[in-house]
Amino acid sequence: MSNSVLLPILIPLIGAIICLFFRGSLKVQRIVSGAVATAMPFVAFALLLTVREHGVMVLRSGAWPGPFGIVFALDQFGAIMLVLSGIVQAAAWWFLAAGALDRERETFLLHPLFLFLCTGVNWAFSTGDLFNLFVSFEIILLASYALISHGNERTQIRESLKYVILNLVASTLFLVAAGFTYGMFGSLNLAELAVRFAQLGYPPETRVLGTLFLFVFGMKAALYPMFYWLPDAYPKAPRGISAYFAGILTKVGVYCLYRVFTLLFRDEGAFASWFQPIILAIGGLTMIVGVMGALSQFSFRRILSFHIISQIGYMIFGLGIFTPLAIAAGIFYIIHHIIVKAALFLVGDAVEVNEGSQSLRKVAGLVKLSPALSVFFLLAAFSLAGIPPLSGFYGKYGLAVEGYVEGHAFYVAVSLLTSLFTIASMAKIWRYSFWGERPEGAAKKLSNTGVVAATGGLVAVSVVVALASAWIMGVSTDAANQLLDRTEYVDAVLGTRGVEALQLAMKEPVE
Amino acid sequence: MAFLTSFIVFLLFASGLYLIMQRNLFEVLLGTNLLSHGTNLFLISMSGWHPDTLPPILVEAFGHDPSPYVDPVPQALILTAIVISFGVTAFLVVLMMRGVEETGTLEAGELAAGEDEE
Repeated sequence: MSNSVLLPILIPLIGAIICLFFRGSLKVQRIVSGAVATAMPFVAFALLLTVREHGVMVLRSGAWPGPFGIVFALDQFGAIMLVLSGIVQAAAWWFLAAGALDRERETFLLHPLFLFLCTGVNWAFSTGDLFNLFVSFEIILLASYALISHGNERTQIRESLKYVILNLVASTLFLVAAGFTYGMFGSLNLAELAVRFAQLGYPPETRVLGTLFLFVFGMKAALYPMFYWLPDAYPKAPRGISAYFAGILTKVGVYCLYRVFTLLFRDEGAFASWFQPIILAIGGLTMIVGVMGALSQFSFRRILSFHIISQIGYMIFGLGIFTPLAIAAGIFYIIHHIIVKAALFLVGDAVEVNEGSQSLRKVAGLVKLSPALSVFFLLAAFSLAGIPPLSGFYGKYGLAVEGYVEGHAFYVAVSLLTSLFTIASMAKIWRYSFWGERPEGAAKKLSNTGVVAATGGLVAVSVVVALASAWIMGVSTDAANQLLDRTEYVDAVLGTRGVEALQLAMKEPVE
Repeated sequence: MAFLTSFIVFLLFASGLYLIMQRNLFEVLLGTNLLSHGTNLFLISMSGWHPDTLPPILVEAFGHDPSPYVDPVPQALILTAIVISFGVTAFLVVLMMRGVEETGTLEAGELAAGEDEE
């Protein structure tokens, strides 16, 4: 039992509440939000190290034993996600504090909403209970609804409406799936459900539930048939915070997919015959359709939004292969993607802050305006495409090798083709916006260098990910092994009773 | 009873989904409400209620046998779900009011005419 599991939830929540008391004062809000954003990466990193050393951290609310109370359980994968959420939050705060938005807009509840968003995300990463996961999703969604319509423009209202209604339907289905789970298996605790599924020998109902969860979380993660809302909604988020949207929000869905498919739906027969073909096909389609969308767009944010979809495909591909190395490569890919994608969104936003537009048709010659920003873009874009010394390479390499070894050569080919198109669409941004002559009457100097510095900070983190790739790959491998060998998680939540029941059910010798 | 409940859940979901796909924003709003009612009714049907069950207050005569009581957990879930759907509905109403201010009608199609950067 450890109360520190709650820190990543409580710190932003308290920060948000303090901000609400100082609604009129931007200064106080920035200081409070900044203190939270500075603290979060360190707190999360400390938690990651603790989890790596002492195993899964569990908090039983009210000290109720095993499956009866509400449980928070943080394993290595969850802790990694918390670290990433903290890093992106810090970068987004820095970007905002550099004056990315006009004062009036930033003063109006922006910081508290952002902190509520972080609360919900961190909650989702550390809960061990299906219904709590639903509640954390709703916190994330309500904050993101408000943030997407923040600014009150006509297009924002329209996209926000679409986003709200689609997510309402997805949430309804999530609740129905949770209800079915409770009605059929009598528990909402994830570890307890893992044991009960195994004890009952994975009855056919688990396939229905697995498919429902695939749909629900796939909607949040913007998987192939359910991705159309993302490229419309995300570009409407306020500058700076859009990096958090792009980096973290869809990955909450991916995280949940990794969680439920490694913990709950582990029936090997059903996985090979039902889930694996579906997940692989969806992964491949998500990759290729996303990047095709990106090729046809003409604005920074929309190109990048389509790229998010395409890269979610890689992560799902890793889950579909379902070997320790593939899951590890998938986790590495998530780490790389979150940092790099957030950095690219910050580049786009920095361009908008300085040039007043993100359209490739209106912005040109950025190399002359700011060589630093160009270098940042180039590093992040090459990393996204997977050029060797940069961080994107390792995850893609792992996925390609493991996919080929496991006999999914077709999807490996799709993923390599997708990389090629990725670099093509990045070259398009480069060709139109960074090269060429400055338009007449355009500014000769950056009007806001602070936002470029914030972008550089996040790009620097992505370079660190590349340099420390050996260590990070080690962390991802440990996290993947912990996900696949469920005993540690079940042991931490339910104690030996749960592990013994699970091992007996899986017909493994009890040690 | 189970048949009646599931039929009503079906009815609420079907009409909710139908209304969500309408162009009039107010009908969409009603649709979301019907959907959440359907979900709540569905959840309560998971508590194993039938006419002979007792409220979940322990009676000494039954000892530790849980079978005569109705399961209280789905009711707790529904309470949470109701609060959440209340919050979302409130937000949706405000958003739609802004849409009406912007276009003067409740037609969703009118909003599509907005300027958009490529």
